Amino acid sequence: MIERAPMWRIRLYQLIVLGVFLGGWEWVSDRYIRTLWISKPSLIAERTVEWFSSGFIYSHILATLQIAGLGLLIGTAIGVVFGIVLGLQRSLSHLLDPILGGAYTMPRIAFLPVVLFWFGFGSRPMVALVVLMTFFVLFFNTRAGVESVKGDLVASMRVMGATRLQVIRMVILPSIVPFILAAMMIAAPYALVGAIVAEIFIGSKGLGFLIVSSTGDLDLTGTFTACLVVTVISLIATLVIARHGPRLLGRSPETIGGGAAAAF
Amino acid sequence: MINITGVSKSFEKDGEKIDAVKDFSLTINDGEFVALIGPSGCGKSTVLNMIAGLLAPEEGVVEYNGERVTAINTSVGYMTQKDSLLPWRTTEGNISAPLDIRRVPKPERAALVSQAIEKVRLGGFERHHPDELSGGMRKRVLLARTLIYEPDTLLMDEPFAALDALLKLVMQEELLRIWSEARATVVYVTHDLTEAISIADRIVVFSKRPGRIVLDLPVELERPRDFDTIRTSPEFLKLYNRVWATLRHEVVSQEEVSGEGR
Amino acid sequence: MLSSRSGTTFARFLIVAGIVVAWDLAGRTIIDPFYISRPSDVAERLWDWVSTGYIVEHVLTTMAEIVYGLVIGVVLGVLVAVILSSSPTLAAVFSPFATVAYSFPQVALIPLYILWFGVFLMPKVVLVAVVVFFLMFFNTFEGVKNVEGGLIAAMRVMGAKRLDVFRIVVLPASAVFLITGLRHAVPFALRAAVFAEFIASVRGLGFLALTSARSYSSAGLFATLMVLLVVGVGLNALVSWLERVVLPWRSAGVDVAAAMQR
Repeated sequence: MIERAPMWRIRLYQLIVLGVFLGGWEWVSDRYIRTLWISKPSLIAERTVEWFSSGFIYSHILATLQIAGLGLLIGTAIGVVFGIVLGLQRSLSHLLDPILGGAYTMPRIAFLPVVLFWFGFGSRPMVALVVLMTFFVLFFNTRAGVESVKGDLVASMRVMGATRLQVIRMVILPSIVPFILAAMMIAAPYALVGAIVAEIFIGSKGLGFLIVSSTGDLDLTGTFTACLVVTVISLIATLVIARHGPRLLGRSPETIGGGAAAAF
Repeated sequence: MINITGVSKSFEKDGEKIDAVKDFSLTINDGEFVALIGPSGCGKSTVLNMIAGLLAPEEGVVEYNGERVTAINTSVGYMTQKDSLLPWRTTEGNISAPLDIRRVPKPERAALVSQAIEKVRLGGFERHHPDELSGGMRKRVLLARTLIYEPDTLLMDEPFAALDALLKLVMQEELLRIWSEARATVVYVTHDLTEAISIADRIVVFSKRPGRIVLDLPVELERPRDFDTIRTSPEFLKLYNRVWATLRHEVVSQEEVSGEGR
Repeated sequence: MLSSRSGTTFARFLIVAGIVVAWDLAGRTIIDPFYISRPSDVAERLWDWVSTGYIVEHVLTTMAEIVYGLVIGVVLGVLVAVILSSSPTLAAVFSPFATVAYSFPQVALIPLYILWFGVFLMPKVVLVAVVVFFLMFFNTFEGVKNVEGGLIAAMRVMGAKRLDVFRIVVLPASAVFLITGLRHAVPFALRAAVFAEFIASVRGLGFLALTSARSYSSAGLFATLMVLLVVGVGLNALVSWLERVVLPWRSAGVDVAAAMQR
């Protein structure tokens, strides 16, 4: 018999697994490994409450979300423009394909020193990194959206006397909106990771900065608490997108790229 | 002989309990070709899964040849709509899987496999992988794999549903040709009435969920059946109208209750 | 046909040449070469690194981090996923934990690994392994769950014991997931290694890029990016070759998970 256990038993097992993990951590800490090196769940819980009740954490969350959001918007704008242009210029797009593909396989994170070099310090290089991380998803999906527009439709519009610009406004733009929205949903976790990674590297506030500065101060309770906050934010984003995404789109176009926050 | 007595089985879906079958009983005799037909989601597949021992009933008993089914029933062959071929094995390798499991010696295996391949007319495709075969060919491989260990009973869950209408007809004829030699018991789940009448000895019509039997009718059409003429014969039409009257009621009332359905 | 293809290749070559020329011109006219260097400077720097053998040490360091991390992450990820998904209950129990772990950006833990494991090879291998582990685990977990449904039930009905299922289905399927997963994981391993080197390192391509940037050498920076591109393309080619050797039946572009769901 290869049936699944009933739901209540699965929930029970999950509680046990969680209990064993947290309990084991708590128990090992300071008995076998010094708390300094691994902290412990009770301390993390305490710190979480402290950060939220004192309001300390909000400015950091806001800082990270600002960089992620701004980068995503700029990345979307650039990606959409390039996507429309190359979507309409198929032969140019075909010629550029291997070059774009090559650029796409290049680890975006490797451009961290480049954006540093070009944009100096502050939030500009961090936003630039997020732009780099989100651009390709938006570009490829927008282009796919433009290419999915039926040639007949465009032809019939032209026959009716529409100019190229009118075709773009009346046919192309409305039909790529779902593609752009879907791509933004895929890119959202990338943006978050990009912001955190940039903050770890050069931030002076934000969740990534909290992770790296706490670790530097040997305050691992702070490190894990910051990680917990990151996980919850990214989980909320994932769940909201999974639940409301399809409805928001009305229909879900085939998207290019994807994966969750593990991607960066 | 398969004896199902007073069986109930339910599922959880989105936290809701749904009865697939409730207090369900059915007896199938050896050598019989029985078609189970009914609206989608009426518990036909659940019944097959219980005969195969893949699901345990919550209430009631499933007996196979007088013995209660409590573990996976390896005397049956099971062919599902979803094709369960191993993508990394060739036609030969896939067909010989049951022999591999039964530890049949290699030389003997090869002979049996080439016989089976001939039976389902797949000569020339021995070394092809499933990805290189058409939908109909994959069904032939599945059929050969199911028949090769000579199970007493074949459980078939809409095996040809994914095929186009013409290919489906060809496969049904093939099945009957092979069955007329093997003479196994067949329990054939379908929601295609024409298919059910053309191939079965007996038609069991399920109600909408939870599944009950609303009609149990013998098909007294002569064998071997000629697919070219059978579908227009008066006996066929009479049976068709009779079963459809019952089935239609179930399908329509299911649509009204759930608003789903196709 | 052929002439149009070679025409395309020629046009692409022209585009690349055009980019290089534009880069050079921009450096002479509108943009200070301090920021974007010059193609000739980058080429000179590359030649210098290659001819003196200076680059070898850095490439090997980064490669070692990637290869060790990949091997550990891929093997453990596939193994744990196969074990957890061998029973539907176990899979259901761990699936929310997997979702949580997957939605956490694993790279963010690099400061911690450096604290725990020092600044040399170890923390990078750990980071690469962890990133690859979760990637592989999640993909395999989803993939194997699909295999479980169809293939394993089919094998069990054919009489397969747990060990047979392991030998006939789980093991070959794992090999498939291992290889296809490797293709998926390589770019992520590269990124993880480079990022870890940015945070703390004494050699490697990430170190080279960073020190170039810190000493305001844009030629060094872009030369490193070129090397990184070559390493990435090389690793991809290696995996493709491995895939062709180990999984010859898998014609390119066939989605295994989809093939298994069929």
